[in-house]
Amino acid sequence: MSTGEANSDDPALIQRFCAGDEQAFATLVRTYQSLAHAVAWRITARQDLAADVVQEAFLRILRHRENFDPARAFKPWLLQIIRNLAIDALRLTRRHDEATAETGAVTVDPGVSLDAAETRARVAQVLGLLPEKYREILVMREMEGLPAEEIAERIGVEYATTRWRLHEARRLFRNAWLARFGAEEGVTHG
Amino acid sequence: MAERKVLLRQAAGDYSAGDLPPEDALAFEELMAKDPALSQETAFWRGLRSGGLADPGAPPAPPADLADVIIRRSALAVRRPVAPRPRSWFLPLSAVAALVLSVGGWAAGRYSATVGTPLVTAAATITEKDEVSLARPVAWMEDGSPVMPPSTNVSWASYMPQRLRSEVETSVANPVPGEAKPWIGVWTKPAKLLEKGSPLRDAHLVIRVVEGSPAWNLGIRPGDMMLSLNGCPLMTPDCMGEAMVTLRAGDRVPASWWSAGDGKRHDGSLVLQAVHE
Repeated sequence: MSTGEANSDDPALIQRFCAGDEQAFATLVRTYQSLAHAVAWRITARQDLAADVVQEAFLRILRHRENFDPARAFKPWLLQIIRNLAIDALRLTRRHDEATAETGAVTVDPGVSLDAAETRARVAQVLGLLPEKYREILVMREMEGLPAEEIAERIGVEYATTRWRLHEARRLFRNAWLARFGAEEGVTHG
Repeated sequence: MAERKVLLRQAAGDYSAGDLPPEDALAFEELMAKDPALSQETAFWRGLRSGGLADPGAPPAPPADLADVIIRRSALAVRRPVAPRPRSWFLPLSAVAALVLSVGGWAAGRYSATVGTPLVTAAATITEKDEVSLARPVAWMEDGSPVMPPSTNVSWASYMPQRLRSEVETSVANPVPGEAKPWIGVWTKPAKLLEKGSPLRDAHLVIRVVEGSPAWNLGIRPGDMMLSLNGCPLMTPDCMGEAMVTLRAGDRVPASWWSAGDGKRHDGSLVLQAVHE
């Protein structure tokens, strides 16, 4: 079985980064910023949040570089952090919605319907309740739009296992959604 | 039977995601027409997707300066000295200095003369005379509760812990020459900003600004909200404190703030001044 996405990074670069080489870190930032931003964007659908998430993810990686095994692939590590931070950032938008309801203020992104923003924020709330391995796979399939075959390749498990994990993730998600928001709130924004 | 039910639920997820081959999708639709539970399961996922979960489209390009901001912040992190975490109060070191200058200058009515002066000798008392008037709620405590209701005057001094008030009064009365610290001339407290077009964000409510200071010259006024300094998006509570510990006087840094005057976000840059504590 594969141990994860193929390590396309320059091993020497990763080793220099882990050893504290600032230039190596800068190279990684410039290499992966677009990919990281794209993933954050697909989850948050907000450019400002996506940029904040990317900043925080790289700084978090820098702070924890001593814990990273240079033999591992860098990109999956980065993207996993991006996904978690993006979900966290989206969850905060739920608080914004609640504050909006309290104050009567209306703050909606241009071009984004309130229903869409509300749905995404609620999804993030529920995703936050799921175990990591289910949350990750659901985000990759439902929010990033990756096909199951590609997800299997990225997370380094068999295709059949990926399918089963995806089904289990959907079941857990739906149960958590109904428990949190109830059947009456449904998701029929159409 | 139970196994078939599980398989059908799995198929509902695949069907709604468009993962079923066309012939299987047709067969599933026939089954769905006869099974309300299956139909409900499918409707749940369809509703999520049509309601906003679906792929938002091609991602825009990241901000042009994103990599530069990250690298600049990383340099700060590397340069950061080993020191106790800053207080939860914003700009802890410089805040005391800012207050010293602002209160002293304000009491004596000579801001322009005190700004940039290495030592402050004027004794001052902290009063609650200064107020921030907000026409609508823009600030929240970190737990999400409103800091102020609409049209409420807020006393800046009411935010100051008594311990810190004593510290400031002591430092004003007994100035001691010390190391130069970078300073922008604001006194703030952590808050949440409800900015039009953005979610509830971490920010810092500007309680006081020293006239003639870098922040003042940039146009920052009491009641405004500091959003970022030197690229720190304020996602972490000590981001600004970290910046103020590692930056040097004379550094030019970008700043973003929300203005209570026009209700808009502004971006600019300022040169950190030196202040001696």
